[in-house]
Amino acid sequence: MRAAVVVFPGSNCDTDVVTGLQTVLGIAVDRLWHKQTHFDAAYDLVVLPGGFSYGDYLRCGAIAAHSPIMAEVKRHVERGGYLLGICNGFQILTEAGLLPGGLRGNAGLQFICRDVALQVANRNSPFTCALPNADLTLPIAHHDGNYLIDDDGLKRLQDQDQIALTYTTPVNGSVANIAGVLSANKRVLGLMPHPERAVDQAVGNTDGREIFLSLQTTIGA
Amino acid sequence: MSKPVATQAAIVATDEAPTYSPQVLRGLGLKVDEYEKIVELLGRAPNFTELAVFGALWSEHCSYKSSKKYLKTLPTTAPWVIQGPGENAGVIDLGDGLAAVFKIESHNHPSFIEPYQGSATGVGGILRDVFTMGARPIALLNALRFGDPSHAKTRSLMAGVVAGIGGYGNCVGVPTVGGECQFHACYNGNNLVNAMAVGIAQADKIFYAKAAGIGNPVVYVGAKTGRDGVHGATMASAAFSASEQASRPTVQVGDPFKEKLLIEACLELMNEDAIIAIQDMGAAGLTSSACEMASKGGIGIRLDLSAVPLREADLQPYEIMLSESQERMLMVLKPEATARAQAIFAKWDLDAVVVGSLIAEPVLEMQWHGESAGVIPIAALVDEAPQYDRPVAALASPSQQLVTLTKPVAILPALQQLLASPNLASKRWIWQQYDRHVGVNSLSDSGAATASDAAVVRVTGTRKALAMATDCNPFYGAADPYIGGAQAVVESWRNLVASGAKPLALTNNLNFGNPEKPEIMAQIKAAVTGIGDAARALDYPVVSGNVSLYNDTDGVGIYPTPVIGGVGLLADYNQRLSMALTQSGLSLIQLGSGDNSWLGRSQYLMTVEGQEAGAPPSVDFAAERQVGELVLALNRQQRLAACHDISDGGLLVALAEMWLTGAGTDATTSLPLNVQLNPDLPASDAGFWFGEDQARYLVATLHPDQVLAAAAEAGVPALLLGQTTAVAAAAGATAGEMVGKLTLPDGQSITRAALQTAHEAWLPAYMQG
Amino acid sequence: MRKATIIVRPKAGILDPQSQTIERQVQQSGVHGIESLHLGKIFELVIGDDVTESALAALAQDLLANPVMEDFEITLS
Repeated sequence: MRAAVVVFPGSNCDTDVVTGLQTVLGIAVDRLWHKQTHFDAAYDLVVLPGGFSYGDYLRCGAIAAHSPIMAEVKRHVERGGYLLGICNGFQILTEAGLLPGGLRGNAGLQFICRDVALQVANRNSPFTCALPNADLTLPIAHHDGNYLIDDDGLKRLQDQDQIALTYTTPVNGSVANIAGVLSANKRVLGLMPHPERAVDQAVGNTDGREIFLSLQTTIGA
Repeated sequence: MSKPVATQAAIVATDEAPTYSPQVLRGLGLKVDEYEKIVELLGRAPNFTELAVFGALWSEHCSYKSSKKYLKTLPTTAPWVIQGPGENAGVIDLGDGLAAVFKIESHNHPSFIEPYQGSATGVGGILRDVFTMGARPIALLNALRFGDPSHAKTRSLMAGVVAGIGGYGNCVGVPTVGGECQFHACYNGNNLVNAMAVGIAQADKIFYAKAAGIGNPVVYVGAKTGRDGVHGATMASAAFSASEQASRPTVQVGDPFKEKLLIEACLELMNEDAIIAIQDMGAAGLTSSACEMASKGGIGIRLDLSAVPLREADLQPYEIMLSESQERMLMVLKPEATARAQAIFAKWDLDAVVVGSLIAEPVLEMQWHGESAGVIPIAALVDEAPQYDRPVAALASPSQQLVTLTKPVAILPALQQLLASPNLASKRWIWQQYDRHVGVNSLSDSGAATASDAAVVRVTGTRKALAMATDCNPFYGAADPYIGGAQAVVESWRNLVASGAKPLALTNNLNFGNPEKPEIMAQIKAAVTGIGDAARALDYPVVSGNVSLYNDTDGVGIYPTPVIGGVGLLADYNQRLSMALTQSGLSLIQLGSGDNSWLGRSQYLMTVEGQEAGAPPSVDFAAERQVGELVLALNRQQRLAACHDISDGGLLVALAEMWLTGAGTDATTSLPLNVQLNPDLPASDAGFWFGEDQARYLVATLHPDQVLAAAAEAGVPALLLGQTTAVAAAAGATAGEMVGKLTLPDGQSITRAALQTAHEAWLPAYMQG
Repeated sequence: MRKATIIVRPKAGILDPQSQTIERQVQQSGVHGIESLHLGKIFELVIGDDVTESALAALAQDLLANPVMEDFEITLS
C-alpha cells in the first residue's frame, strides 16, 4: 500500500498522520505539497490532514479546496484511489464537492477538544471493515464540525449507506449526529474525529488503529 | 559610556533644537529627568523618532528599570543550564544532544483592552521567543487571573481571553497542555494573562540574537508593519485610569496562520547554514529587535525604514520603529545564503525584505527615503537605560494572628462548597476549548485517567518527556510576599515531582502593581527574594522571565502574583505518574509535614468562612526537598499508583480531585470506586482536612508497607488515610444503583456523582450568565 | 416598516489577516485586475418608524461592532 499526506499552508496534523500510518501499518508515507499540480498515480491512499489550512479564513477548508493540488486529488478519486479527510481535511472535501454536505460552526459556538463516543454506522467500508464490533472512542478538536445536509441529501446518505460514524450523543449540532461521511463509492471518507491521535498506547487510546488497519485489509500491505 | 561620537549623518530638523512638552514625553513613556539624560547622552536634543526609540527601549517593559536590581539576585546557573535570562528564552540541557527552550510572558494590559486579540498575541509572542532560538514549540501553558466573578466585566473578559488563547494555539498546532485560573476582586481592573511556551531544540543548534559581520544584510520577514500597538510597550508600563480607556491605541491583531508559516519557514531555514542572528519583533518592535542584535554583537545597525513593508502607506518613521505588528522576524543572514533563504520564504508565501545592514560604528542609524532619520549610540539605548533603586517601604510584618473560625465545621458540605468555588471548581470549560492533543505527544490529559499535576509531553522520537506546570497562590503573597514568591516555586517543583519528573529549571512572570509606590516595591523585593531562596534551595534555577508592573487601576493594585512556570524531565515517559485513582485496593497515604492544621489564607477560610485572614503557611525548603526526593525514589521503585500534591484546598480537596479525575472506576472490572477513610482520623477537624500546610503529597499505592517503611527511613512523616474499594457488583443492580462513595472517618458519606456535579457545574453555569 | 443595513468591517489600518489571505487567493484566481479585497459583515434589520439612526448607531457601537477593531456604516431605506 502506498500512501501520501497533503500539506497545505496551515496544516498541523500532517506529521501526526504520517507517523500514525507509519507506525500502525509499517509503511513509508510521502508528503505532497499543496502547490503540486500532479502526483504519482501509484498512491493507493491520499490523506488531507487536520489543521487550519489558510487560517480557516473565509470558511474552513474553502481556500484549500481551490489550491493547485486539488485538481489532482479529484483525478486520484476518479482513478479509484482512496481518500481520507480528517477534521480540516473533511472540511476541505466538502468544500471541494468530493463529499456531500457542509461543516459549520459548532452549535455551542466554541472549539471543542475532548474524547467522544462513536457508533460505527457502516462496518463494510474500506475504512471501517476491520473495526471491532463495539463503539469507538476518538478525540475531536474542532470549531466547525457541525455537519449540515438537507433532508434529501440525508436520505441519500442513509439509502446508500454513506454515513460512516455517528456521535452516540449530540456533540456539535451535526445533523443525525453525523461524525463521518463516505462517498457513494465508499472510497472517500471525511470525519471530524482524529484517528491518528489514538494509535499510540502512550496517550491512553488506540481506537484509531483499526481505521488504518481497515485500509490495509482493503488495499493490501 | 564614552561620549557619543558625532556622526557624519545629518539629523533631520536640527536647525533648531526641538523641545518637547511633558505631555509629549509622557505619551512616549518618558519622565522629564529621563529626557534630560537622553540629551546628555546624545550631546544634543533628539529628534522625535530618536525620542520615541528611547521611550520604547527605556520603558519598564524593555528595560526592567524598576526590577533589575532585584532580578540580578536570582540564581540562574546550574550544570544543565545552557542559556539563562537575557536571550529570547531560557535553554536547558536534556541530554542526548537535546535541549528545552522555554519562557513565560505576560499580555495583561492588551488582554484587558481587547481580550481575544490581547491573549492571542500573547501566545503568538511567546511562541516566537521560543522558535526564534531554533526550537520547535511542543507545548503551551498559561496562567490566568480574573476579577471577582460578580464583577460586570469578568465574564466577557474571560470568554474573550480563553477564546483568544485557543484561537491562536489551536491554529498554529501547538498543544495547550496546562495552566491555572483564579478569581479575585483585586484583578477587577487588571486581569492577568501569562502565556508560557516550551520547545525542543538540538543543544548544539541554538540560535541567538548576537549580530556579527559588518556589511551583512538585515532581513525582515513576515507580516507587514501597521500601527498596531504603537506605544504598546509604554502602555504596558503605565497604570490605567478609567477615563483613559477611551483613548485606545491601535490594537495588535494576531494572525496565527502567518505564525504557523513563520515557524515552518524559520525552522527549515535553521537547518541550512544561513542565519547569523535572529530576533522576533516583540515589544517595541523593530526598535527592540534591531538594538538587541546590535548590542549583543557590539556592532551597529543601519536600517532603511523606507524599505520596511507597510500596511498603510502613511506610516511615519517613529511609527515604523515602534510598531508592534505581530508575526514579524528580523534576522542577519550570511550574504551567500540569502538566495536560499528567499527561496524558503517564498515556498511558505512569506515576504522577506532586506531592510538594512550591519555597520562597524556601534550606533542605530535610521534612514528614510535617502535621508537620515536619526542616529543613536546603541550603548545609550541599551546600557544606559535608567536603573531605578525605587523607594521600598518597610513591609507590614506578616500577620501572625491566629485564625478564629466563626462557623461550625461540617466536613462534607465544606468539601462540596470548596469544589464548587470559583478558584477550585473544574476548569473544564476552559481547557476543553484548547487543542491539547495535536502532536500526539500529550501523555497526560486534563480530566482523564492520564491527568497529572504537571503536563507531561513526550519528546518526539525518544523515551524522554517534559513535565511542565504554572503556579502561583496570590492569596499567600497578599499576606506575605516573600512566602508568595517562595511558595510559588515550591508548588511548581512539587507538581513536577508529582508527575514523576525531576525538576530542572523555571521561568517566572512577576505581576505586580505600580512600582513607583514604595509598598509595591516592597512586595517585589520580598517576592523576588522568596523566589531566589526557594530556587537556590531546590537547585531549580531561573532561566527566563518577564516582569509586568503597573497592574494598577485607579490606584488599586493587584495582589503580588509571581507566577512560576516549572520544567522537569522524565528520562523515560513510562515513569510518569498520574493523579487519578483507577483501581481498587489502593492505600492512600499522605507524605510530608504531618502537621495538618494551617488555615491562614486557605481556600477553606476564604470560601467557607468568608475571611481573608491570618498568615499563609510557612515554607520549609529542606522539608520540600526531602519529601520530594522520597516521592521520586518511590516512583522509581514503582511503588506508586498515583500522586497529587496537596495545595490549595488541602488534603480532602486533593483526595477528591484524585477520585474525580478519570472515570472513577476500577480499570480492570469497570466497577465504581469507593474511597474509605480510616475511622481513627479526626472526623471534623477543618485544619486536618482543609489546612494548606506545605511540603505534602497524597499518594496511592498497592504497597503501603514499603511506602511507610521508606518514609520512616527517610525521616518523612507519613499518614495512612484510607483505601479505595470497588463497589460490590450486586446481582441485578443497575449501573445507576452502583455508585462510588467517599466515606469519612465518622461514617458520613457522599457519592462521587454529587461531588462531580458540584465540581463541574459552577463554571459552565457562570459562563452561561 | 423600513429596512436598515449595517455594514461592519475591520477598521482601516488594522491588521485583517482574513481579508489578506482571501485577497491573495483571489488575486491568484485568474481574474486579473483585482486590487484589493476587504471582508465585512452585513446586518439587515427591519425596523419600526420610531427607530432613529442614532439608536442604530448606538446599537452598532455597543453590540454589532467591536469599536476597538471595527467600523460600521448604517444605510436606511
